[in-house]
Amino acid sequence: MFKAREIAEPDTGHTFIHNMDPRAKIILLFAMAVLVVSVDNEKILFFLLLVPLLAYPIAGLSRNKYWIAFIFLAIGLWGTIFSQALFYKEWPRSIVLILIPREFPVLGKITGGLYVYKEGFFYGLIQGLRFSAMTASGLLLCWTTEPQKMLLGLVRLRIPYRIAFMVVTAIRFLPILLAEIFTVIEAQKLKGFNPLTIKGLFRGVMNTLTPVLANSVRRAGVLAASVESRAFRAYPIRTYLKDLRYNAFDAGITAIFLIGSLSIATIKILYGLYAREILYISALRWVYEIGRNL
Amino acid sequence: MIEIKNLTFAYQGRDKPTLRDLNLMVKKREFVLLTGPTGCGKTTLLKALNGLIPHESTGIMEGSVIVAGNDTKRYPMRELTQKVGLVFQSPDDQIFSTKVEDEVAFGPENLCFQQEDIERSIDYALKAVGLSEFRNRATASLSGGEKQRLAIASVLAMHPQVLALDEPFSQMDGKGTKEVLEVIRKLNRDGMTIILVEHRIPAVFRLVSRIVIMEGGRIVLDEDKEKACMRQDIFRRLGLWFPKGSGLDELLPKFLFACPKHFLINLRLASGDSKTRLPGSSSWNRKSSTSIRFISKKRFDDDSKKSLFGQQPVDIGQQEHNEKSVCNGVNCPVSKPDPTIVLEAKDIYFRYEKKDGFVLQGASLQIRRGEIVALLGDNGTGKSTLLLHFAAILKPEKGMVEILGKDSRNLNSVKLAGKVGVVFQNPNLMLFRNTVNEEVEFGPRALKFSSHKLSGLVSETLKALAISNLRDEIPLSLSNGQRLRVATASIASMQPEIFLLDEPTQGQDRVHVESLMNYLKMKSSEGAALLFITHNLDVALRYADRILFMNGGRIVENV
Repeated sequence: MFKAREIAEPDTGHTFIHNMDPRAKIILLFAMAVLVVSVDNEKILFFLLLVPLLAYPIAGLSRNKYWIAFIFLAIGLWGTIFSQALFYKEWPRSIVLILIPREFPVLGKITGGLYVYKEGFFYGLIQGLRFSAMTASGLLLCWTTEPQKMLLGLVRLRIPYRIAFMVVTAIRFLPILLAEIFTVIEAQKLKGFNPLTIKGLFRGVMNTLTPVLANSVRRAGVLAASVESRAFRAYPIRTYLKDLRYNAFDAGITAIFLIGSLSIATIKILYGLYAREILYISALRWVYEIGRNL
Repeated sequence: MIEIKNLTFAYQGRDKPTLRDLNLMVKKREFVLLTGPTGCGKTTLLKALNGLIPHESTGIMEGSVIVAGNDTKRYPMRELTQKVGLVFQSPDDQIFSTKVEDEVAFGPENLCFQQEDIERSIDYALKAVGLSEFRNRATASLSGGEKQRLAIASVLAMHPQVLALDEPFSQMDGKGTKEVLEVIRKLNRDGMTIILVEHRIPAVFRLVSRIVIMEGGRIVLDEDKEKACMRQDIFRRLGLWFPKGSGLDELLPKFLFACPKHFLINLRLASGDSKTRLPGSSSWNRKSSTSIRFISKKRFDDDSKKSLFGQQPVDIGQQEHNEKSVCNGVNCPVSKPDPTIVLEAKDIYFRYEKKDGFVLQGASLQIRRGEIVALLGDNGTGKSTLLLHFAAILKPEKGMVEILGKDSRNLNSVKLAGKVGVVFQNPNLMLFRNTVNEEVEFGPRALKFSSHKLSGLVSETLKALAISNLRDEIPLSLSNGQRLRVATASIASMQPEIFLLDEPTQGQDRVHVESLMNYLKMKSSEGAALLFITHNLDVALRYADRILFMNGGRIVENV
C-alpha cells in the first residue's frame, strides 16, 4: 500500500552501468571497500563518495532513489560524526562545545560532563565518509542490477547457491517488510498511540517488531515450501537459463580498480610498518610520502 | 493417480496429529474440491502429495501416499515435484524473481534441464496460463490474477501430472478469479488432475467433479458434487459456504419484499468479466447499461425469482454464459433516521508518485451515520486507496475529503484514533500485544478511558465478538477467523463512529464472516457507519445498505 519498493527494487535501464556484468560490479564494490578502509584522508574519502554519486545520474536513477540515498547517507554521516564527536576517548582532544558541564547538577556528575571534541568530529567524519561511500556504492549496485543477474553473479564468484539465493531473496522482500512496518505504525496511531515520538519510541518498536517478524516468519515458511516444491536444492548443481558475459570493458575497469585499490592498500601497509618502526627501506621513501598523504 | 492409505501426520511438537487415518483416491483427470474449516488439515494434505511431507517437514508420518505409482516416502523431492505441482495462496509470497521468465525458469533450472529444454518449458507453461506475451515483463507490474497465473506457470514448467492449488483465489477479485479458473479448467480438460483447496465453494462449484470435506484431520464427506449438495447439514455444521442454496438464494425473497426500490446487477459486473463495460470506463456506452438493470418490485413474481436464483449455485465461472442477476439484500437504502454525513469524498484525485497515473480520479461519495456501505471493484481500481483517505492516512492531491465534518488535510491517524477504526487487509499487522485482552484494551488505554469504562468495554466487546474464551491467548497464535475478530475488537473497544474494513471476508469461513458482520451490523444499528471492501458479492448483498462499484479510480455505480 506504500511505495516502499522503491528502496530495494532496481531501476530498469540500459545504461552501460546496468549492462555491466554483475561480477564486475561486485568486484568494484570490493575494490571500493579496500580503498575506503585503506585511506584516512577526508578529502580523498569525500572524492571516493562522489564517485558512486556521480554514477547515479549516468545510470538514470529515479528522483526517489536520490532521496533514499540522501536519507541513508545523511543519517549515517550525521550519526557517526555526532557520536564520535561526543564520545571520542583518545588524546589529545580539544573541546569545541560544552553540552553539559561537569558541574551541572546530577547529569554533570553522572556523565562526567558532555563535550563535543574537535578530534572526535574529524574522526567521525572519516568513519562517516567511509560508511557513506560504501552505502552509496552498495545502493548503486542494487539499483542497477536485476536480482537474477545478481544471483548468478554471486554464484559465478563461487558463493554457494543457497547463500546467494537467500541474499537476493532477502533484498526482494525488503520492500514488503517496509510496507508492513508502515502499516503497523498506522495501526498503532489509529489506536491512539503514536510510536514516532520520543516517549513512545521503545514501546512502538516492540509493538512494530512483533507482528512484522511474525509475518516474516510466516512468509518465509510459504516461500520455503514454494521453492522446495520447485525442486530447490534437488541436485548439488543446477543449470541456468541465462549466462553472464564478462566483456573487455568489464575486464578493463575491474582490472584498473583492483590494481589501484590493492596498490593503495599496499602503500598504506608499508607506511604503517614504517610509522610503527617495524620496517624501513630507504628506497621506499617516496612510497612513505604517498602513504602519509593518503 | 493418487492413492492415500491410512495417512496420519503429526507436526513435531504438537500433541494431536493434523491428519488422522486419512484415505483418499483421486483418479486421473479428476477435478477435486478439497474444503473444510480453517485448520482442518487441507494444506497439510497438499504438502503430503508432493513430498514436502515427509521430506521437508519435521513430524511423524504413518500410512502411505502414492502418486502416479510412486510412494512419496521412497522417492526424492526432485522426482515428486514433477508429479505434483503445488501452488500456494498468496502469489506475492511465492514469486521472488523480478522477471516473469526467470520465475518460470526456476524449477527447470533446479532440475538441471538443458538451456533449450528450459526455454521449451517456459514457452509451454506461459502458453498454458495465457501469459506468453508477458515473458519479459516485470513481475511487479502484473495484476493479482496474472501473478497467480504466473505462480501456476512456474510449477507447470516442471511438467507435473497433478496440479494442487491451496486457496488460489482468496486474495483475488472477480476478474482475477475468473482468469485463474479458466486456466485451471483448460488444464483439466487437457488431462491434468486438479486438486483445489478453496473456501469459496460456490465460485468453483460448476468446474469440480467431486467435493471432499475435511474436519479435524479426517475426511467427513467425499462425494460427487451433486450428491455432496444434498448434505447441507455438513456444510452448515462446519460453517462452510453452501455450494447450492447459498446465501443469495435465501436472500432474494427477503429483499424482494423488504425493499421499496431494488435492482438487479449482472453478476458479470462483480466478476470483472472483460466483456462487461463499466460505466465510466472508456468502453462504456448506453447499451452497456443493460448490464445493470433496475427492476421494480412489482415486476417480480415467485416464478421469476425462481428462474433467476432458484437452486442454482452462485458460480463466477459460469457467468460468461449466464445472465443470472442478483439483488441487494435485506438492507436496501431504506430511510435512515440519521441523515448526518460522516464521510464525504468530493471529486478526489490521488496518485502515489508524481510520475505515476492517478489511482483515484474524481472519486465522490457520501456515507451517513448508521449506514453500511460495501465497496466493490477489481484489484487496482483504488478501493484501498480510497479507504485510507477516510482514515486521513492518505490525503487527496485534488478535491476534498471530510471526515466527521472536518477536512482530512487537517487530520491525521492519531487525531482520528477512537473516532475512525480501520481493520487492515492483513489483520495480523494490527496485533502486537501479548494477550487478546491486552490487545483489546490497548486502544482505550491509549485514549485514557477511565478504568471502569475500560473494563466494561473490553468485556462487552470480547463477548460480542465471541472471543471471551481467548482473552489470555496470544493473538498471533490464533486461527485466521479469530485473528480477524480480535483485530476488529481492538478497534471496536474504542467505540469509533466509523468502521473501515479492507476485505474482511478474505480467506474466511462463512461462519466467521457472519459472526463478524452481524456484530458490525449491530454497531451500525447503534449509529456507527461502516464502509467495507469486499470481493464477496454475497456478503455485500446480505449486509450492505448500499453497494458502490469502483472502476478507474472513481465510483461508477452507487446502488
